[in-house]
Amino acid sequence: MPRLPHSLLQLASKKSPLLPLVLRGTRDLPSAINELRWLTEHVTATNPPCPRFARKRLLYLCKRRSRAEPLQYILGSQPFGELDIKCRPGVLIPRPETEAYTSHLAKLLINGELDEQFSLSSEEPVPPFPKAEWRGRSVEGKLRILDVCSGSGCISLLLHSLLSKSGRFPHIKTVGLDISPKAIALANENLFLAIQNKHIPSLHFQSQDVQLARALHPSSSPPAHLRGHKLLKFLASQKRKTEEKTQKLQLSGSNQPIHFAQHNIFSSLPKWAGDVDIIISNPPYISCSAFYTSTSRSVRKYEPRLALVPDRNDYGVDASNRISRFISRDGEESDIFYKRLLWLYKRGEASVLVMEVGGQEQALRVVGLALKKKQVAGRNRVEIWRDEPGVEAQDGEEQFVSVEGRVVPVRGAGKMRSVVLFRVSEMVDRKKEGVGEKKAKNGKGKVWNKELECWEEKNKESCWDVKRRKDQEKRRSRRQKKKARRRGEGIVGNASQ
Amino acid sequence: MFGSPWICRRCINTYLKPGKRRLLRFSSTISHGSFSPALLARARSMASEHDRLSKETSETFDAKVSRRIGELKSVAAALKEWEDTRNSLSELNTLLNDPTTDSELRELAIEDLATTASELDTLSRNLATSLTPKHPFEDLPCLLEIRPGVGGGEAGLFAGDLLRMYRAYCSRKNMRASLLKFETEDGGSDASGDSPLQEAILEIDVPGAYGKLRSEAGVHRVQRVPATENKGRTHTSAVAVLVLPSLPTSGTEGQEVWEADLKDPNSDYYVNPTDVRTDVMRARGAGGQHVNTTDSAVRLTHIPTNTVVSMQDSRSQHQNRERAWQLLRSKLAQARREAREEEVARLRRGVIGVAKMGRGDKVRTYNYGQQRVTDHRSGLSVHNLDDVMEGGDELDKIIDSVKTWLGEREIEGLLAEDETTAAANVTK
Repeated sequence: MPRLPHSLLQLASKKSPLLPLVLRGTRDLPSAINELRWLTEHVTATNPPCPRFARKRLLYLCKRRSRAEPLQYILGSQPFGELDIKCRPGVLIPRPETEAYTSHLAKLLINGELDEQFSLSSEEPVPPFPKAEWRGRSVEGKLRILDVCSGSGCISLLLHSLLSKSGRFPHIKTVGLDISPKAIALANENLFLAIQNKHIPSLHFQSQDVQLARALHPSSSPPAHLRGHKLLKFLASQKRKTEEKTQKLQLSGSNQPIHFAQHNIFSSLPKWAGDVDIIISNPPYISCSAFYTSTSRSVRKYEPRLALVPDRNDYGVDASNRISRFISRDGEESDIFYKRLLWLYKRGEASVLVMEVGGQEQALRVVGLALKKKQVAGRNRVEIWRDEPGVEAQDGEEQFVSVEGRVVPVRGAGKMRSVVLFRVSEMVDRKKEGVGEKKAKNGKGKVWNKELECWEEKNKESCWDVKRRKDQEKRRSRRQKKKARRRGEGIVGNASQ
Repeated sequence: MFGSPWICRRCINTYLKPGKRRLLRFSSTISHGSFSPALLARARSMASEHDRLSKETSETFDAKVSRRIGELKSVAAALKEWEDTRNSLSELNTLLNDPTTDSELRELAIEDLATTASELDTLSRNLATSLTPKHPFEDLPCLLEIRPGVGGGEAGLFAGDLLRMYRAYCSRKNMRASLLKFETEDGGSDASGDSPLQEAILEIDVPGAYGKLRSEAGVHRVQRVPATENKGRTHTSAVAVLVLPSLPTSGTEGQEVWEADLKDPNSDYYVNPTDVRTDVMRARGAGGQHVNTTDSAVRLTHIPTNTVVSMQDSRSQHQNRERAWQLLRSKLAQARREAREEEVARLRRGVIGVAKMGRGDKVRTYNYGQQRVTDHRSGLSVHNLDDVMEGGDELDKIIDSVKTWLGEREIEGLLAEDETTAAANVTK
């Protein structure tokens, strides 16, 4: 880390005696000035009892900042789009790049540019889900989103609030998964905050209000001579506390539009995890060596390593693990999450997969991984988004890269920040057919078959029906031939004996 | 010996030098009586529109249309009267020119002719005023600001006199006037005392005050022997008077207009998003998870006009962006409004020629030596200075004359606009 020049420190101390302290944290004068202003605003906004105390507190905060503690941890929050996300040590701070691609995805969905991805699946039979409320498709405004490595919950919350505010998607269900219990707790707090600030509609908001009103004003008013009695007051406060508790419990319950759950995605996932419409993820992607060379001091010292560096040992990825079979040992260790995400995407029926990546090299590696899998390569449109996906590319930034003999468009301006896969409509058709047949063969897709039959009854004259009948006939004839052959063999065997 | 008698040098100089010319006024208060065809055509088209609209609304009622009818009504009525009178005048003329009319009838006709001609004059003036568009701020209360110009202490003293004059005028006209700001040169802030004035703002809180007093804006010149002068020389100093409409500060209606304007491509506040380049501070180095930056600065550049707005107050980039857009919109709207006003002013100045309406030229002279007040725009001179300075009837007379003059200028401006649009249509 280069030293700060004396002239700069002098310049800073002329402006404010606290500025050199902040400058030590930021290493940059304009942003130091801004941060000092925000710190001062924070101290005055929290209403200190006296000006002397306020000065002391400001000095304390500036000293913390001089040790490169992130401003977001000091102030306890970070604006993310229209939301304000709480931040706490132990959970990754939301980044502006994440905000950019999340809001871009929301914009695409709201403008209907991804409609073909979803509308096609609606014409097909609806596969059943373990959870009843997940039934139904996006065309009726239903959308299921899976946020892998949710952290502070910023992506889920922003996407949910933008989509629900647009009014195009009245029924959105979002699930966030993270390995860290701290992150899950914080995400739930953020959800509560967002609902309070009316960014996210709450399913139970009305009943909550009613309950709260009931708790505050007990319906049966006590007799006049007992009014103001201490015991009654105590009882009322107890009641209020329990009400608040139940309210919080309700929030974390699965009835809520957003549900955050602690889960290691390298352990076995529930079946429904693949059956979503959108998978979005900001996984740890910094390699071990890059962690010591290219990360900034505040990130290295204060932010959780678990959220930054994918370590096989941290996530229990080793040879003994059943899931590790899917993740080959070769390749960079920093890419293990992408392999898992691609596997999840391939297995399930999500139509969009958004993955944040660390830069150009990693983006190309991830695209390569995706294109290596034939099932993914043939049926998907692959794009790379830069830091600002909605902006036109600047000079000197190429708009296409070729990976594995395929030209991949690069959108926006800045550094390559995310890899996006869209399932192409015709391909979905073929894939589903394939999956259906496979399941039928394995005998596992009983429910699926039932659904299929129902659907076939409804439209008997469809071409699929004809095809299916032909297939059955073929299979039957094959079976008969086999039987005949076996019989023949048996006869031969008997004869030889 | 000499062919010509001796003449003193001074006389020769005055005789030969063309410098001192007789005062010629290029603008006059006399209305022309007959109209230019363009203006007449405009009046006729307005009248025909009025007829058409009133016919349409006889069955259905629409608030917008009826308001438009109200606007056109005065023009239509004035035009009708004017045309009737003109027809009668031409009839009288033919009667006079006809040799077969008997003498008795001829006398009657001659009598009638004189009255009809004068009637036509007033009617044409009426028509002209009804044709002039109403100033958009006519109905608003106004702020009258007085500042001394060149002339030092004497200008300040005269500024005080002017302030007294306007206050007297307002009280005579029953207009509520209150002093918003009063500063003298030695720092006093009470209206009494004789120290020179530095700045005074008079608020006239009556609807329509702007329409009454807007003609007062300009440089007022005074020629007198000041109280501070001990050698008895006449000084010329100037005082600037500014008249501003006081716009209502609150009101939900304005807010609605703002909201609606954002989506309307014709409005001043509309900015095409494709014309704007957004620059965001990006993290140096690898970005993403590698660094945690607090830079939230947003810079917007409107490419066609090269207007740059940057905003970094808030921690939220989202908020900064919104504020920057708001700022850019208002900046562009102001620039557009100014450009439009400049265009109109240029057009009118081209017609009006010498007479300028800005504060660059003096608009009125108060000559104490001759006890005379002359308005240079309308050309009206009044020889009762004391009455004027007390805000009496004479001041009223001057203000009215300026108003009619302003009305005529506006008509000329309208005519010029019509002609230019007609020319543009022809070239198309």
